[in-house]
Amino acid sequence: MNILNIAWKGIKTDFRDTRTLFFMLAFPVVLMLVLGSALSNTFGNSLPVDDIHVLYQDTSHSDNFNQFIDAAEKSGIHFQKVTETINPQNEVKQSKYDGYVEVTQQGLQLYVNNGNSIEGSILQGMLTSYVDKYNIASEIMKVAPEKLESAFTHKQKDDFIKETSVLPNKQPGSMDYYAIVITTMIVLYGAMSSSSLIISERVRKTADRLIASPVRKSEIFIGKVLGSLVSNTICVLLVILFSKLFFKANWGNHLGMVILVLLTEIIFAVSMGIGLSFLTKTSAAPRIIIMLFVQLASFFGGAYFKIDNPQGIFKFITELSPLTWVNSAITKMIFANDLSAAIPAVTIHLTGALIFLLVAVISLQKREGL
Amino acid sequence: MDFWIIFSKLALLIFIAFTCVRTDISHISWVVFAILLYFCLNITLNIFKRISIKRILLLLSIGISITSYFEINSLFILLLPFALIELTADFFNKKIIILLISIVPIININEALQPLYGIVTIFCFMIFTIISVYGDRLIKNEEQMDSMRKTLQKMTKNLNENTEYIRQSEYTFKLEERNRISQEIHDKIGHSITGALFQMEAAKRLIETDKLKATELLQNAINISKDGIENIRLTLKNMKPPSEQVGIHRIKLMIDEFAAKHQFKTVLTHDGNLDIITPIQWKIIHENTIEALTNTMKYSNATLVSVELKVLNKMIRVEIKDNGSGADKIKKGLGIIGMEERTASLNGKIIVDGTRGFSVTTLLPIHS
Amino acid sequence: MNVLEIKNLTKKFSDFIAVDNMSLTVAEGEIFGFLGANGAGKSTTINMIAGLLRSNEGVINILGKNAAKNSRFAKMNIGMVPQDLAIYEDMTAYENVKFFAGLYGLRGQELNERVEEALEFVGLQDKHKSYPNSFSGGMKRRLNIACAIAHRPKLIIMDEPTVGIDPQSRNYILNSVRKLNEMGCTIIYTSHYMEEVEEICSRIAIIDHGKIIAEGTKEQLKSIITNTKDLWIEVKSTEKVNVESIKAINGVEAVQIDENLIKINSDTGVNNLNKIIEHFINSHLEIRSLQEKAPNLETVFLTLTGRNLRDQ
Repeated sequence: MNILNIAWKGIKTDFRDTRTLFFMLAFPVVLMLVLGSALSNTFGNSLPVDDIHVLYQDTSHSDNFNQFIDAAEKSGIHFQKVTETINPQNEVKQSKYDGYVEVTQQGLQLYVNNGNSIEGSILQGMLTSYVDKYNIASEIMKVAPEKLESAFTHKQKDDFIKETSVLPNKQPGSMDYYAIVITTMIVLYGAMSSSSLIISERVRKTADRLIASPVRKSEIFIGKVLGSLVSNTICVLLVILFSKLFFKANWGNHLGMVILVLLTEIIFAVSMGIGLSFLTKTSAAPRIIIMLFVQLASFFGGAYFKIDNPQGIFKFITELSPLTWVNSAITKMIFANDLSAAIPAVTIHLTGALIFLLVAVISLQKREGL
Repeated sequence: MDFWIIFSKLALLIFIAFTCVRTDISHISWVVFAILLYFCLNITLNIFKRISIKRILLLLSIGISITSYFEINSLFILLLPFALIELTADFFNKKIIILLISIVPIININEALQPLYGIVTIFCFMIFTIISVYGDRLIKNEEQMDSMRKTLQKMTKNLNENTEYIRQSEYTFKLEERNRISQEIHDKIGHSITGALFQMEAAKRLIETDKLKATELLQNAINISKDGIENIRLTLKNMKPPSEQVGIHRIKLMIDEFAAKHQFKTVLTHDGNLDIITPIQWKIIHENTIEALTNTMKYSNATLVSVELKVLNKMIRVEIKDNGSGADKIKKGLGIIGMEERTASLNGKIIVDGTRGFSVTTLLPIHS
Repeated sequence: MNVLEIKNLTKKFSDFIAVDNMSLTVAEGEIFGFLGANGAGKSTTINMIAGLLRSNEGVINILGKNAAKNSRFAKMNIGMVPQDLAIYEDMTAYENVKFFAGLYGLRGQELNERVEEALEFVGLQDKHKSYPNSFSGGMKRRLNIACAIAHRPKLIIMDEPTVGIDPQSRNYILNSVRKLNEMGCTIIYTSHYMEEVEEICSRIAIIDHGKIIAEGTKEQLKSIITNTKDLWIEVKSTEKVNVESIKAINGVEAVQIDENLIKINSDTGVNNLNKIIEHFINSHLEIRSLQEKAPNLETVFLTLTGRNLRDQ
């Protein structure tokens, strides 16, 4: 009963503290909104491509390429002839133009700035198909020039390959992604408030009063932890609800399981806060440590930007962040219906929580007072 | 100590075992054999006390690691440095030579293993050095403890003997005192009383016949008795110690002596009626003052000691205070505990304060 | 019955001995004062009684039961008013008292009644819904007390409850202490304000360096150092003063004339003020002023320890 009393008091004061509320509710929502819309480019399936400007030099003395240029103009690809004054390679290097094509008797040569740029890929694709067609045409011309007309006039069949995504529409959009990672990050920040659970009692001297009352230390401890767990859980649930309703974030078909994983993360965060507060001497130290840890964990856990396929030592570092595990677990649960993905994250959380709680309990037993 | 060496060796073995398992080598049975052999040797190493057997076992483990290096797996060379260090440590005092000897094989081994060998050697060397340094220190401490224990025992024995001696001499003193008093009584008072008795006997006989003579004899007896009484008074007075030896004078004497010996300035002040202080209270005041002065002399670097004795209405307060360095936190030594116990026997209290100089205040209740 | 018995209590903080072999008893109905300088060991002793600190040696009995073995019983019967304000700034006055009273097993209607009662007792009944950060120092101190008394403890321990507040609040608190005492509570009161202790405590222990160096009623404590008091009477002229006849008054020990001041040293056990004044009137001596120079607890403390109460 005393446990509930203490827990209830903790919850009540947590929700009275506007700073906590701002940090646990407003901050994640704003962050989701900002990151989700600002970085939406790096996600999603449609990429807006502006008009493409290409330099060219034609020494082939045929008008074939000019026809191609005219046709390409319609799709927003503007070709411009090289003049004497400009160095085409340099122009491309400086990104003034998206590409440079040299047309000679021997064939085509394409310079693009970045092999992976979308504009470059488009150019490459178009030119390849142009060259292919040109080659076919010239071959036909050699063998049977009369068939040329028919070869190119009949309706082209362009559905040789049907592309089917393995997970149709199941790639996280930016809002979906940030809803997950910001939520998991904010859960980890819950360690901040839990680190001051016991310390604040000591600082306010109310610890003396608690100890002087006929309540066991264990009851105080459990009550405190319980209160912190509940208020953190409520905050997280509110954040999820908000992101689902207003940002239309995708939380999948297994919301219960996702919340369960988040719950283990809350347990981990709260225990970490308490454990650290017992390990350090000053009251400021655990806050600084948690701040640093959560920042690093967020950074390497992909809370600010998505980390795709890290390699080598970087992969190792990202794996040190508990957020990596929980994020990938939740992503898999939502987008691949892979519930077993939750197991490593849950294991890490509960083991960590156990260690920190043990530290706290042992030092609490040794200590006089709270 | 040995535990840590064993532990380091075990760590090396585990490392080798893991690496072997992970690289999937073919003759795993030989690896296991070599590891077991090495393990057995190094465990037996700790069983024997004889140094020659130890050396043989160390040579054997060197042999195992070298043979295994060539025949089984090159990783076994990592077991070499520890054995080398342990073996050479007996012969050379200079640590650097031990390190050099154990690192020499690096020249001859597989190039890929050289850095690993180097690191392992240096770690083994460090562990061994730390262990041997602290081991030596531990042994030294143990010896010191032993000698201290012996001294303590001797002291306790001395103390017991002294207590016995004190009891003996107390008894002797009592005996002597009793002898003196009986001697006095016998020599002086006894004679007078016997003399007076004779005179009175004679007077009793003569009282009928010669009244004048009888009166004279009686007068004689009266005189003798008077002398006797005076003698008794003198004897008893003799037994009372002279006034310099009690009370404030004794303390004054002691303080002066102390000042003369130890370059201190001393001040003694007293206030109130000193007569109501009982001898036993004087004794405790005296002893506490000695103790406090001794403390001052030992620890304080003081130049001035003041002793203040105040007789209040219901309490005697004695404060011995110096102007020395004092102490923020007072550790109760035997001296302070002794003072406390003495004072507590008369329901008194001791306050020791080190905040401004060092002061010992004795508070003794006055019983009316 | 003895509400509190302490036997040979010792508390060490590593090498430092904060409480040194302390023994004392407090009977039911007493207001027992702990008088001592800062760092003398008052708070440590109190914290051990309240169960905040464990003792290294010694026994504490609360209402006849060993407090270490019957910790729940002991704590239920103790109300602790800590030296530092121990209240939650983010809860209302009512919630504060309710929370702490709730820890003592009070529930429901009874809990609400007791909370009301405690708040009314300290005069905060109309501040139910206010947060402590809007309170004055004195009001916070009173709330601090309310939190400790709602469960109606037999023994209330007050550690410097009047530090840093205005005289009005102080008087209010001192009156509350008396009222609590009249209601049957035994009170342990520490302060380094000698006047407070002298005013309300029925028995006082002077503590220094972790030891009780003197204990008793204030009269008993004063009589340790002296059984006389000085009466300083200033007269217009001392010509007509007859020293011998003043000395003849019962209890007068010595008379000294210092200009216009007649200093009469007299036994504290004899009430002879009337007679002395009568003598002056009969001798047609015009009294200009009269001062009684009796020792106070401060003097007792200073004389016994050689230090002032408020040193350091």
